[in-house]
This record gives sequence, structure tokens and C-alpha cells, in this order.
Amino acid sequence: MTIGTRPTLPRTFRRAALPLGAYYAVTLALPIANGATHSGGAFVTHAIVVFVLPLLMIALFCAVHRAAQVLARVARSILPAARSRERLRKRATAIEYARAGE
Amino acid sequence: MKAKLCLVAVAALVIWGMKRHYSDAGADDLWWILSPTSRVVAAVTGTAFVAVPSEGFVSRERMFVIEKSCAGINFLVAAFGMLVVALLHRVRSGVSGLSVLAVCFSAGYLAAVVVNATRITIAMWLADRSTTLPALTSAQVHRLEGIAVYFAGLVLLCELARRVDRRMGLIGRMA
Repeated sequence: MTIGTRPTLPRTFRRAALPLGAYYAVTLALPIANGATHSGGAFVTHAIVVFVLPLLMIALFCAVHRAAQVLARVARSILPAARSRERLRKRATAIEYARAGE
Repeated sequence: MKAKLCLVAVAALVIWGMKRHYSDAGADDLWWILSPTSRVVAAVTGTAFVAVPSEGFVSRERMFVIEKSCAGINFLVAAFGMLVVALLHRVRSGVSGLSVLAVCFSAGYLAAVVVNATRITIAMWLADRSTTLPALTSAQVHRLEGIAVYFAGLVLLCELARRVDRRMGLIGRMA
């Protein structure tokens, strides 16, 4: 699920609406239309799990993606110092090679 | 518009037919989906499955049966319906409608075999480690795993279909 750069919760839900709708249609709507609710509490318990788990999965995906973004931002803010040192070292090596060539 | 309505009607008929076939069928009637699924599971897990009439595909060594309820027909129905909705905008004539229908059914069938085999493989792995989750019964773990794998499979299939659709649109515009 790639949702641009910032998968906010509403945006992710909109993006997952089609698979979510298809899943609910087959696992909840069709059995209810066939009278599964008359079979008692077992179906209701099953239906609650079927309804809640995909929503939790979407929320979890968003949370993990957000955490990864925050970590990447922290890494980017820490890394510039190290990156500029590495750049200086490479430039010095290049100058040394150029002088050796002369 | 007329072609799109026709496609929706035919798709609804196909879904109704699949559900009807599933409710009446025994394990022997579902060989067309149980057989490839059991072969994929056997290839991944290295477990040998034997076809047993009216039972399904049995692994005596792992005490595991791939039976009618493991066929993944509900996933196939959901995947097919979802793909038809996702690709409906491509229908412009009867011929394009038929090709969309064929693509949706083939992709749904392929996805059903792969996702169902994944679900069964994970279920076999979990069955060997049932003591690691003491708060839940093995039936509850099996149910949660089924919901998670099927929903994740649908989301991935939808994303794949959108990407392919976008790429096909780009190719069409370039040509």
C-alpha cells in the first residue's frame, strides 16, 4: 500500500475502501442476507472480529508508516554532519589523486 | 454505460453462480481450486498431500486436511468483484467488457490460489506452534490468521491492479 508520501489515516482508509468493501460484502453482507444472524451469537461474535480486524490492520499500517517516517527524519537530521565529513574526505582523496597524476 | 451495466450484471451472475456452486459442492467438485492450492502448499512446505475422495487433500504425516472450507471461494468471489469494480472504467464495448471479465476472473483465481496457499502454509506453521499463544485457542488463531491474510491479500491485489491499470493507461496514451 503506497499512499503518496504521507499516508494519513483518512487517506489510507479511502485508499483501502475498495478491498475493505469487497471483504465486508463477502464475509458480512452475503451471510447476513442469507440469514446468518438467525444462527445465534456465534455469528455475531465472528462478525465483530471480521469487522474490527481489517480496521485495526489499516490503523497499524498507518502507525508503522508514520513511525518509519519519523525515524527517517531523525536519521536525516543526525546524518548531515557525518555526510559532510565523508564529502570532505572524498574531496581530499580526489585532490591527492590529481596531484599524484601531475 | 450500457456495456458497463451489462458487465456488472454478468459479474453479479458469475458471483451468484460461484456461491451457488460452492454451497452445493463437495470437496471432489472443488478440485479445480483445491488441487492447485494443495500443490502450491506442498511445494512451499515440502509436505506431500494425497487426494482422498469426498475429503479433499490429506497430509497424513502432518495430520492436515485441505478440505472444502479451505477452498478460498469466498476470497475468489471478493477478489473477482473488487477487480471488476476497479477495472470498470476500462469497459467501452462488449469486447472490452468480455476481456475485463476474463482478466478479472483469471487474476482473481490466481490470487485466490496464492493467498489461500499462503494462509494454509501459515496455518500449518502455527499448528506446530500452538503452545506459543496461550491466550487464544487454536481455532481463534486460525480465524484471526484467515481474516488477516485474506484482507491483506485483497489490499495487495487491489494495489497491484491499480498499478498495472495506471501503467496500461500510460502505454495506451503513448501509443
